[in-house]
Amino acid sequence: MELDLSSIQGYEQEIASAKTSDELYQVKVKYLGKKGLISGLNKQLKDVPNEHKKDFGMKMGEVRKSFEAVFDAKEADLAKSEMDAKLVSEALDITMEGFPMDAGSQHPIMSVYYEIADIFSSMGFEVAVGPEVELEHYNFDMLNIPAEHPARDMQDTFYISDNVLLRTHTSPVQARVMESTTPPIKIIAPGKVYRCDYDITHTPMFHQVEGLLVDKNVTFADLKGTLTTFIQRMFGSNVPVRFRPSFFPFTEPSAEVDMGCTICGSVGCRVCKGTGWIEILGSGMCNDELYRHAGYEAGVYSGFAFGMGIERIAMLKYGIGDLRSFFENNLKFLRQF
Amino acid sequence: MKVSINWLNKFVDVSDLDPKDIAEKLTMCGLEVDAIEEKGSLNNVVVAKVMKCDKHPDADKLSLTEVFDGTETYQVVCGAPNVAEGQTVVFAKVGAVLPGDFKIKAAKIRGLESLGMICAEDEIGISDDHDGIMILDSSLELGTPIDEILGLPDTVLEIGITPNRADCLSIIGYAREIAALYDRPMKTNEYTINETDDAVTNYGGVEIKNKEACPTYLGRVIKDVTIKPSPLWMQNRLRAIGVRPISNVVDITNYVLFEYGQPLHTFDLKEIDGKIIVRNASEGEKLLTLDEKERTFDSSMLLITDEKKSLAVAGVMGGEHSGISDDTKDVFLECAYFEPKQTRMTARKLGMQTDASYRYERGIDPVNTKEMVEYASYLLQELCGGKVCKGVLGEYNEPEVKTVKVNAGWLNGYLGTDISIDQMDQILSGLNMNPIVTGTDITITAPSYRIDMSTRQDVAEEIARMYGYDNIPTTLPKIDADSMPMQPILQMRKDIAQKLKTLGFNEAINYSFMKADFLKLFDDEKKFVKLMNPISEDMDTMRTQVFPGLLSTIKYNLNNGFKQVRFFEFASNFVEVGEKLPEQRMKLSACTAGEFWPMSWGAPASSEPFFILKGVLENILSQYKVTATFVKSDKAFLHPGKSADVIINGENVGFIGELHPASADAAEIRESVTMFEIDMLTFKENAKFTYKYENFSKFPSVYKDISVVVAKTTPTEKMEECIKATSKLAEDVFLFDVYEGKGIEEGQVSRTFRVLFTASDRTLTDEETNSTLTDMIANLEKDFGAVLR
Ligand SMILES: [Zn+2]
Repeated sequence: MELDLSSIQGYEQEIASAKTSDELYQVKVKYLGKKGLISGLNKQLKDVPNEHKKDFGMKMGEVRKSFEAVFDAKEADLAKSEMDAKLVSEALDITMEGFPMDAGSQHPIMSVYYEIADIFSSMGFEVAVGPEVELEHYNFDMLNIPAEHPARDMQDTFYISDNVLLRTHTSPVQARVMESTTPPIKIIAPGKVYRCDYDITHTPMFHQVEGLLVDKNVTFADLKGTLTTFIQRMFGSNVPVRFRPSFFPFTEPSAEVDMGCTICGSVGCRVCKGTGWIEILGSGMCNDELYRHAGYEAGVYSGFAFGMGIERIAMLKYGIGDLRSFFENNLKFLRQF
Repeated sequence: MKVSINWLNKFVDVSDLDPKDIAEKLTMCGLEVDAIEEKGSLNNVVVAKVMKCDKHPDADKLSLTEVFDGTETYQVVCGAPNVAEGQTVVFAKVGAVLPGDFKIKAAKIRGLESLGMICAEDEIGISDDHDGIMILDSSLELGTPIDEILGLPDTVLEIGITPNRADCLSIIGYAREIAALYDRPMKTNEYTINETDDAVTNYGGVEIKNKEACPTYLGRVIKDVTIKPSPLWMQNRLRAIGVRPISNVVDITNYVLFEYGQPLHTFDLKEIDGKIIVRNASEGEKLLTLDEKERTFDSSMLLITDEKKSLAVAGVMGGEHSGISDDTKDVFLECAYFEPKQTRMTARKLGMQTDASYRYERGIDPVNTKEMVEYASYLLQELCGGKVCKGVLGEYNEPEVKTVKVNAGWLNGYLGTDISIDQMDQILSGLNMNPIVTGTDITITAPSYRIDMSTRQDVAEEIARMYGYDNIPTTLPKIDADSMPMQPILQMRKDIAQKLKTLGFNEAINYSFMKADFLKLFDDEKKFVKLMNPISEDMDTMRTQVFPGLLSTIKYNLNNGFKQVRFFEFASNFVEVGEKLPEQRMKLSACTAGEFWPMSWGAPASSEPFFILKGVLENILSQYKVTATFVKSDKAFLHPGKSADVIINGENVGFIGELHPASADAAEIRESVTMFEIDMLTFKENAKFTYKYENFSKFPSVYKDISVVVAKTTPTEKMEECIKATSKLAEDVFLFDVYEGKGIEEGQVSRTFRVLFTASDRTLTDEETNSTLTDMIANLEKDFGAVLR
């Protein structure tokens, strides 16, 4: 006696044509439910002689397994296509703007300020600060610039009262440190400085970084090494650097420090006035008068000082043409940094 | 200063040198060449004569001329108003190329052929003068190339001089440097004076009353001079360095000034009454100077006078009446040394600067004065036909000779070099320092023109610059200092700036000074620090607070069309406190105006800017483990209901709040502005830069909410404190939702607090947290009359 499978002939067809998981489930109920067609095959069992019952039972199990295999495959298929359809329906217009997490900006002068401070800090210089409204004594007298010295011509000073002024450089910070400290001294003094000059290439306030290193046996060669290292860390290790004799009342010998023009690669352009060089730093060995003013024992110490304008470096670094744009605070300008 | 290479050749042979090489060497020894001007040959430009000059038949302003160059005659149409028959002129023939690449070609001008051009001074590049054609001395041979007349070609170097190098305010100064740099001999300046028997003492005398200010004053009398143009060679040299020739006597004084750096003055002898007296002015004394301005003096100023009146401001400028005029016959020549400080002070007080004062202020060669009175007299004799009277008037005082001793070992140690004593000796000899070597010591005696040599560092500088900075090694200091951490306040500033940047704020930098009238809106005028000499009224007072600067930044950007602006600034404030220096403290100010969120489909619904900024400030403070309390502020420039003073550890460190609409109006800002300003120094003192890890519960936390209705005036902060105080299990409480309106009575508000429950030793059960919530609600009811919603 054979198992009569005629009642379940259609399931493969029905599973294949199910279009949704709901329809598929209905097929499952129809065949595997308690009153389903596959379950209904059990009825044939009562007519089967005992010796065949085992065989018959195994066949029924196979039928169930075949159904389940076809069903599972279809179920996986449907789940995948339903997921695909859902993802398609969820698609975004990815060209819409992102959430407005507006980025702000850091002022380019401050970016350069920190960059300079970081380089010198890594070389062991401490950052020192001091008052912007300063006594004439620290701004001029202690720096070997007496009242009648022609060097005072180089500076046009804002005065608050007869002997109080807006510092014209950050050197008074160094004078204050020297007055209160015995060497070794290794500091930089960054900050705002003021001169009464206001035209296309001058603003009445600008930023400088000045530095001072004093110890025993400090040489001019050390000055060259320190400043070359700084410039090459700031502008790239291949930038040529040259030192040129100059004059400052508080240093001797003094040197202007030029670096190869970064705009034209040292071949000569408008920025470097055709020379291929750009003046970047003033520097020199501290004049003995500085030690005398600070009350140090004569002839014991040597050292060097240097100074640079932050705006100038920022202009070179970012290619900014107009000095005044630093202080207009136009968002179109600031947001670029 | 401008230096002509042709002029330099008078003192040192540089004819074989490339001017660019000279410029490079000068720059690298401390005399920075700013520009090199090539004055090229003017081929096909010659001396010619205007033989005939008629009106152009078809043009009123043009002349039709015939020009003869000694061999040929050319028809030339000329537009100059001063052209006339018989003139000797500069003639550019067809084929000449004038400065500015101006090519002379055969042309037809108003129908008539023109074969060349009669030149004005600007057209041949000797001055800017374009008033008319240049008229030459009629004795010049026709056809002579103009190069010979103008001393072309030439190269002119423009050199910037540092204040210490007074010796390089002259041609001879550069000649000496070049002689030293190239190791070439200097040429001597040969001349002879033929004194007459007429003694100079017949014409007056010199009395110096202030010898400190004027140690040397020499005078000579030169009679029977003829005032006329100076010879072309002198004119050319002066023109080359940008000095306009005037007449022979004036040109000679300029010539000696620029050639040797010795200022001279010439008086018309007939204007001097009696002897010359060098003395301080009497208070209120007056003189009309050469620039036709009346000057009034005080007793600190030095004058040149005669027995009756003042004649000149010593070392600065002569008087109008005693100067040389066209009818001058006899000249009194002054050649003096005035002290730098004295001259500087006089010139400064009078607001004058002249080529003479510029040199005296920096210090001229005090010895050469003796020589220069002779040289100038010689030139007056040769170029003006003058007769030099016998003898020199006045007084010469030899300056002190200074020697400086320097040790070669110290010098090498100072520069970081290994220069031999021989080489040092050689360098110093080349600079005429007369070195004497004893063992490892070198003693120098500087030449009189090097007034800047007085210390061993001065000697080190000379050695270094002549040895070449390039040849000095490059080393790093052997100093015991490791990488330095940045000062806490600067590190904070840097980190906070980064944070504010990330939060969408833009860093601004404003001038420290502003208009007093504007600052008055925010502070008492008694606190103001004012500039004595401001650039303008808009920048006459130092900021007592930082935010007024940001307000102008906001205004500027709103006016530029920005709809939402957020800025911050770190800066010092300046407050008058009755001490020597004003109080100056670093402040942080931040502000927002307009919509905080950008206009975008994704922006959140608008939020109260006060709370956004409060959140920003709390975020900044929390980074340094600082908590602030906010108490109602009474600052008049702030919105009374939307402002608070910020208190850290009992100290008032600043404020946060909305700008009062009236202040916004006064500041001409159309949007509402919210801002804070805090004192960075107090903040720093309370900041924690190091801290220890705190143990936290390993058991899960649970959030539960409480919604209650209270009067609107109930401070949220107090309610949160009350909730927290109810149970140790409440680890954190925050305001989760606020609602007023439908269903809530007028004057009441519904607040939902979210409480975070945590126990350190167990997982909390629902019963436990619910019963704690009940306690909390009871406490809120008791303390604030809160009603559970
Ligand atoms: Zn360049």
